[in-house]
Amino acid sequence: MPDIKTAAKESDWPQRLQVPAQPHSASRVRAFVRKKADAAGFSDDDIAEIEVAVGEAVTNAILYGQPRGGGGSTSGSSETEEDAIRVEVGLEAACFYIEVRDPGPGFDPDTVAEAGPENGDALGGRGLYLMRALMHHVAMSRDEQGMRVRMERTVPGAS
Amino acid sequence: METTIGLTVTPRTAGEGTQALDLVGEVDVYTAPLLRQAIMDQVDAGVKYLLIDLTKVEYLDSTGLGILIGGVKRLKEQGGNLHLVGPSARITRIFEITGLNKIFEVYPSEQEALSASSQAGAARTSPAGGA
Repeated sequence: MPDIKTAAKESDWPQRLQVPAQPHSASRVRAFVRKKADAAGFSDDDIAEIEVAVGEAVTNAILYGQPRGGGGSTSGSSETEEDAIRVEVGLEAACFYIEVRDPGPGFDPDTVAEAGPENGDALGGRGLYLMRALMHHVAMSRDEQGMRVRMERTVPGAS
Repeated sequence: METTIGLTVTPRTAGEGTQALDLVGEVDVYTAPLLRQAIMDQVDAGVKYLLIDLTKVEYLDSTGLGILIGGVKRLKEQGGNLHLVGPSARITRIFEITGLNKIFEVYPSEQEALSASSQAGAARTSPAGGA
């Protein structure tokens, strides 16, 4: 049975946030998702893992989610100041999900070199690996509007 | 002391031939350039042994991992090393998941890291060392 004290009402979901595709947006998105994961009934340790997974997805959106490929700049411009990254957090039965969308061309996750434990000291490529390791399900898709990453994690103890 | 909102990096001398960077806050895509620059400043100054104190780091993701790996590579090229001190259980878990606990030397305390650094330094300078 869900923890009545912490479990959020169905009507509370989904929750949405839009932020600029700028590096400083990452902490804002993580704080937003932390709060929602807490409301969904996750433990502090679970929330910490969800936070890292979301941080990885948002980092990819910041770095690679620019329509014209100029992501990651800290200099700012009218284009990057737009609230280009859209985050949706929801709870469907026991499934807590987070979607991160950006308007960039996206990438094919099957063609990205993913660095796990067997890749030793590779400099990058751990973001996707961490997302998949920390969440129960991760799906990525591309369409004319950009890239969409959906991550799911089951709320423990929920029926 | 260098500060970016979310992260403070403070360099200091930890022991003979060993510098430390005390980190407070979060290492992510926004703050990682500050850490990268602080490590490069130490490398450029000729430091061989660098301790990164993670005791007060609340968040670290793959961006930070990449910076630390770059740092350890540079220092090893110069015959030194980069040691990590005091990561929380949550950050230790990120190292374990990614297998980087096998790449980095991680110590629970600065004293233990310093001891390892001094032993490695002695091994390199002693005629009988390094065997």
